This record gives sequence, structure tokens and C-alpha cells, in this order.
Amino acid sequence: MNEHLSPEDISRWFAGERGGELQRHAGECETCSARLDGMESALAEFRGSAHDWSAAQPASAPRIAWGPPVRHMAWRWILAAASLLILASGPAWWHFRQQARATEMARADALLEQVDAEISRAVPQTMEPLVGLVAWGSGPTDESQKKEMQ
Amino acid sequence: MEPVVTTRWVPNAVDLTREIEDFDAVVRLYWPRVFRYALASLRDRDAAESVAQDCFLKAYRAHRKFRGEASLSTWLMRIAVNLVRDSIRSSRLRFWNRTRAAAPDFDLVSQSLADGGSSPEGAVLAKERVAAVWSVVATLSERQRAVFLLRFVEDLDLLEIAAVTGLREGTVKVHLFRALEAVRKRMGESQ
Repeated sequence: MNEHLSPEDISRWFAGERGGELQRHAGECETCSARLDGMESALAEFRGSAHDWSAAQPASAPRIAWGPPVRHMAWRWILAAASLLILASGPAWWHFRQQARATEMARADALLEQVDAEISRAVPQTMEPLVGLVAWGSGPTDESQKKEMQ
Repeated sequence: MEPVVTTRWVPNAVDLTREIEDFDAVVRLYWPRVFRYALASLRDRDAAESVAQDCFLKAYRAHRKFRGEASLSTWLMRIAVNLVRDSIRSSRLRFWNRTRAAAPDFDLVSQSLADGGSSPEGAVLAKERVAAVWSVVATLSERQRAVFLLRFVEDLDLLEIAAVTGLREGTVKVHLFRALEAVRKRMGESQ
């Protein structure tokens, strides 16, 4: 390659396309080497200016406590409290249920007793006051009934 | 034509997930890079700071999903590039860009060049060159500017730029070539 680098070749060079021919010519040709150096200096100065400009700014990294986000913390607390509530209310609920069952059983027993009492009555309850008026022993005896038969 | 091949150390996923657990250290380490990219892109200190903060906030919220497929730096820069793009597209920032085209403090730049040992005349020329590049960068398309800044300010190679921008390597090269052509033409005019 005897021709000098074209302007596009210089742009290609800095865009990363550096073929063997280009590299060889740049190494041998003082004119092209100087042009490449000039462009490289300009880009290096530009880089330096950007770094200096940024470094001169009073901006600094924020002081943030990079803990878990508040929303996540709140959810964790809510879940923990709910779990605790469920665990704590378990025995209480069991106790309440046992009491309710006992009360129900007692009521059922009372009802059964009442039914038993009703069944074992000699006369209906409405007739019970009359039973008191009748003296079972004052009726005719077996002997007087025999005499009457004779 | 052969592409420039760069080799770099690529940490494994375990290192990366361990690294991200100490998020304070992540912010301290990567804040300057993210802020610098945002500042160079937006030319507005407040907007750049806002983008950098949003970038780390987004990264923090998503860091448990980070599996180390890309380097931490690439991942953060990808978020930053997207946020800068969103900022540029917002009408509010366009208004500010039109009315207040902030530029680097070229006195500071020439001071740093003078400290580097160049003559006062050389520093003035360098200042003009730098101003010319900044003025071209302001006229580049959004993608060309992003690619140019990632390459020549953040020193990323083509594959890293492709990973950060989500573009193919060939597309990155085309954008970079066009941006360089614009810079080279402007430099030719100013010389």
C-alpha cells in the first residue's frame, strides 16, 4: 500500500478497523503517522476534558442506607405478625372449641334426662294433679271383691 | 480490515454476586463512571446527578436478579445508557438543551493541559481542539453520541459497547465511524 491513508481510513482506524496493510503503512509513512497522532491527541484531550469536567463537579455519590426497601420490610413484618397471631390463637381457639363442645354435650344430656323423665311418668304431666286426689289404697280390696262375688 | 481485539479479565458469576452484595462499595466504585457518562451526554449537572441516582436505585432494586451474565460495570452502564436516552427524549430536557447548552469548563481543561507540560500556545490549541470535539458531539445523533462517548470517554471496547447499548458489534462500528467522520471533518475545518 503506497497511497496515503484516506480521511475515511483514519476514521475507520479509530473505529477499530486496522487491517495489516493499514498498520504497515501507518508504521512506515510519517505523514499518515502524524495525521493519526493528531487525531489520537485530539481524542485523548477530549477524554481528559470529560474526566476533568466530571471530577470538578460537586456531585457526589448519595449517602443512602442500602437496606432492604421499606415496602419489603413492611410486608415481612405483616407476615410475621400474621403468623404469630395464627400460632397464638391456635390454643385459644382449641380451648374455646372444647368449651363449646362441653356445653353442647351438657345440653344434650339435660335433654336426654328430660326425655327419660317424660317417658317414665305413670300419667301425663297434665294429669299429675289429679293423681294426688285419688288414694290408691281406699278402693275395694281383693277380699271385699270376693265377698261380693259370693 | 481486522477489528481491534482487546482482552480483559472477566469475573465469574460468584465473584459478581458477592461484589454486588456490598452495594455501598458498588456505588462508590461506579458512581464516577456513571455520573461522567451522564454529564458528558446531557451536559447538565443536575440532570446527570439525577440519572446517576436513578441508575443506582434501579440497580439496587434489581440486584437480586443480577446473575452475572455481564460484568457489573456493563450492567450498570446499560442502565445508565437507557436512562440518559429517556432523559434526552423528555421534552423538559430538550428545552433545557436548547436554552442552556452547557459545555465543559474549557479554562479547567486548558489548565489541566498546561499542568501536563504543554506550552501556553499548545494549551490554547488543545483547548480549541477540545471545544471543536465537544461541539461536534452535541450535534451527533443519540446513538452516535452514546457510542462515541462510551468509546472515547469511558474507554470501552466495541464488544463492551455492543453489550451496553444492545446493538450488534457491526452497528456499533458504523455509528462510531460516522461520529468519527463528523469529528474529523470539524477538526479539518478548525485547523
